[in-house]
Amino acid sequence: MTQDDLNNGRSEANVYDTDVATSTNGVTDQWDVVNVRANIVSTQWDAALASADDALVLVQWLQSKRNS
Amino acid sequence: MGWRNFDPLAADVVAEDPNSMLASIANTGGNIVATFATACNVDTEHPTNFAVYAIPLTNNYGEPVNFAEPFSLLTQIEFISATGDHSGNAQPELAWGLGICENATDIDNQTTNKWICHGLSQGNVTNNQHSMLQSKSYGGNSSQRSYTSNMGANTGLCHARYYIGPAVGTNEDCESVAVAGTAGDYSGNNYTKDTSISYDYYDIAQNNSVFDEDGQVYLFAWVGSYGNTWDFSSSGTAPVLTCRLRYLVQHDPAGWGGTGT
Repeated sequence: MTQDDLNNGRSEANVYDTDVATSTNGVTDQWDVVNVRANIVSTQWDAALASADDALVLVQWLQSKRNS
Repeated sequence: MGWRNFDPLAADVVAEDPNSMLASIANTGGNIVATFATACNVDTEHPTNFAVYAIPLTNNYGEPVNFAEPFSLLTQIEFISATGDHSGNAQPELAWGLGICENATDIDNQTTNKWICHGLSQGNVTNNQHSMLQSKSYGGNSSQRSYTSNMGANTGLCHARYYIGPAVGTNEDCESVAVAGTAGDYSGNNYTKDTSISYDYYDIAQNNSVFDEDGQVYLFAWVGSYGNTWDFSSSGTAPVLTCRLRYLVQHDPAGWGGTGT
C-alpha cells in the first residue's frame, strides 16, 4: 500500500492539533492531542494491521493530512 | 423566531467577571462591544473564568427550556473588529463565545455548576486567524478546556451545534452531551470553510460531569483573554473587541418519548 493508494481511494481523513488542559482547585494539567477524524476503507485498514510497512504508510498518510 | 442576538445588558442577565478582565461591555445595534480592563493579573485559559453573562434559555414562545426536555441549540460566534493591543506577549488574546450551564450565578464554580461551551480565540491578528476554544465541566470538580491549533486565515465566523440528552438530569449518563463546531469566512465570501479542521467535536465523557439537574437551562456568553496577563497603565492600549453572538433554539416541552413499545 502506498500513500497514493490512500489519496486516490475512498479513504478520508482530517487531522488537527489541539491543546487540552484541566484545572482542579487552581492546579493545571496540560497535554497536546492530535485529533483524527477518518474514514479508512476496510481493506486498507486490514492491510495496515497485517503489515508493519503498510501501518507506517497509513500513519504517514494521516500525518500528511495534519492541519493541511 | 429564528436567530436571536445575545444581549449582555438584557434585563434578565446575571453577569459576573471574577477576574476583572473587562472594563465595560455595550450593545451597539446587536453587536457586543467589550472593552478590556487596563490591567489583569490573572492568567487563565478557561472561559468560565472570563466575564460571563447568563440568561435563562427560552423557546420561541418565551417558555423556559429545561434539561429534562428535548431541545436543540445552534450558535453563531462572529468576529467583527478589534482595536488596541492584543494577541501579543503580555497582551490579552481575545476570546469569546456562548455555552450552556446549570447555574446562572457562580458559573466558574467547578463543583456546583455543569457546563459546556464553544467559541473563538484570535491568535493571529494580521490574518484574522482564529482557534476554536471549548470548555466543559470535567470529573465532577474540574474544568477542561480545549484549544485547537490556529485555523487558516479569515476564520472569523464560527457555528456550533449542541447535542444534549436525553440522558441528562435525573437520567445523568455520559456521552449525552456534545458540541460540534466549524469555522470559516463570512457570508460575503461564500462562507468559505477552513480546510485544516473540518469540524471540531467535543463531548463529556464522565457521568459526574454531565448536567445533573432537570431544571432551567442557562445560556451564557463569555468574553475574556485566553491566557496572559497584561498591564497597559504605563504604555499600550487596552483592546476593544466587537463581536456578535447569536443563537437558535428549537424545543419540545412535551418530552422525549421513546419507550420502545
